[in-house]
Amino acid sequence: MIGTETHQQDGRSAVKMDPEKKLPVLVIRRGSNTALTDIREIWERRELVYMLIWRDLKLRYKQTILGVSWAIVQPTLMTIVFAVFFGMIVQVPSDGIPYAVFAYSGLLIWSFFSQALMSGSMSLSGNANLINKIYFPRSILPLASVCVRLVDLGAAAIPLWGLMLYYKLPFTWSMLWCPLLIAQLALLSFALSAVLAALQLRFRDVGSIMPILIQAWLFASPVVYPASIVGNEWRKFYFLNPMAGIVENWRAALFGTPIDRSAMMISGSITLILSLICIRWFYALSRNMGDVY
Amino acid sequence: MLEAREISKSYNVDTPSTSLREAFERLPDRIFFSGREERKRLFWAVRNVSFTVRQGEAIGLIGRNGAGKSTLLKILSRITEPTSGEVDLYGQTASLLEIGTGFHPDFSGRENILLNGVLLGMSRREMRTRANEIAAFAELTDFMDTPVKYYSSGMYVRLAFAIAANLEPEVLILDEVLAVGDIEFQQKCFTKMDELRKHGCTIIFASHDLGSVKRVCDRALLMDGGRLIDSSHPEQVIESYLELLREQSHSAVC
Repeated sequence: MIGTETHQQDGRSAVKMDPEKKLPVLVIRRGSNTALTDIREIWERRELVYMLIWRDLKLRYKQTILGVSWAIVQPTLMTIVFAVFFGMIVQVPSDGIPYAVFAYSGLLIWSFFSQALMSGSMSLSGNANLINKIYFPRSILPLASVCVRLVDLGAAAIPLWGLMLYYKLPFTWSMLWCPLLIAQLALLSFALSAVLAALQLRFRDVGSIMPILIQAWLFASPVVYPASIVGNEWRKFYFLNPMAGIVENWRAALFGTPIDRSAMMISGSITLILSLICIRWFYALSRNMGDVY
Repeated sequence: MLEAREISKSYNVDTPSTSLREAFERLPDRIFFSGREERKRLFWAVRNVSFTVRQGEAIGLIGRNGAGKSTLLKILSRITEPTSGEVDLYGQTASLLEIGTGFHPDFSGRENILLNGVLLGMSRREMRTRANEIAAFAELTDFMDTPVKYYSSGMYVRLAFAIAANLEPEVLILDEVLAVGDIEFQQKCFTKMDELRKHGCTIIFASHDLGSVKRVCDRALLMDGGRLIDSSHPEQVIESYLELLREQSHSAVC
């Protein structure tokens, strides 16, 4: 019953042309949606990605008083908390940078990551009614949700420049690394949240585990403390966490201290491998998403 | 145009595990018995269905509850994959399986037209140029800036249908969506469907309302137990459907 892939080479949905009417023909069969056909379709449906981002941002304005300013308020409040307890009371070192700037710069990309994971992992179950009734590449939902967080990240970056000017920290060429690191972070966030979203549809437990997981991950990454205080015997394991390399080098790029190349290589390759695994897994899970949910 | 070749769809009757605990509990089963496929009990919602719909043709899909109509439409709309078989879809498809999917209650009529149109595969530019036309068709021109949560259910249906009908797709798939509107609006929809067909749009329309199938379609398909059991002129197919129902109620009485 399954061997239906006879007259199309590889079982993928193919758009061929109807010889008479010149209409594109779409062939639907088992296994016709794969990551590769999806990439083409995501590109074709890029307006939908844009609309979903627009929907989220617009809804926030309609439903909250502060709207997008929450993107700035959240990391600011967290910075104040950590600056009081870690910076003033416990006096955690911060590699010679004022602790407030140190913490804000880390919490800035950390809140992007944690919120991308939180909202991304809910992006499929929160739109289950769409998945059931309208077809579009499913990966568009976690993708749009990560993009919304990128907009937030852009907004939350404004106070960082303010802080750096206030503390008279120099702006250097090494800042050119920042977009690359953000791209790596966005890829990691998308791949992880896609797979978590697909798992969340099957096992609602995922939603309960997420906050704890993210909390633990925060302390395993050099966000509110510098990686330099990690003992030598732990260092080689420490940088296996891809976030460690990202956060550490993000700061190095911002403040003009030397980039840790080996940390960058390790976290870069782990990000790539992990993302490929997650994306494959996502497609295995997404096969018949429209059926059950 | 649309061509379905021997499509079938099976579902696993045993419910999949919905919590991690259940998944763990079933793990030994899956490891030790994974080779034994007969453990899975399958339900065939659609069995070996083949049919062709020519360009500009409208076909009605009728049958009892659970006959496989909705599953068939879900396969045609790409919501779910067929277990086997193939479908060729010519041109852009718009499918309306439910009224107002993707509408957001906090958004205004205009915003929802934009969002819904893009969800159904149109571009924002096209939707902006058509927004007024859609509003006029739905008779909601004065309510375009009102959030749809304040709409009555009739207004809601009108807006949803107006969006789908004004997309001018090559294939339009409708699942029991007209039943909710009033007679006047239904008439308007029928006229719109005739007009779409004149422009070459292919329509597939599942309904329990036999009158509207007769009104709209040139041909009807009758499904029962996942199989396609009749396909011909609507009058004839409706007759064999009624016959099927009579037989069934007869055997229930005896």
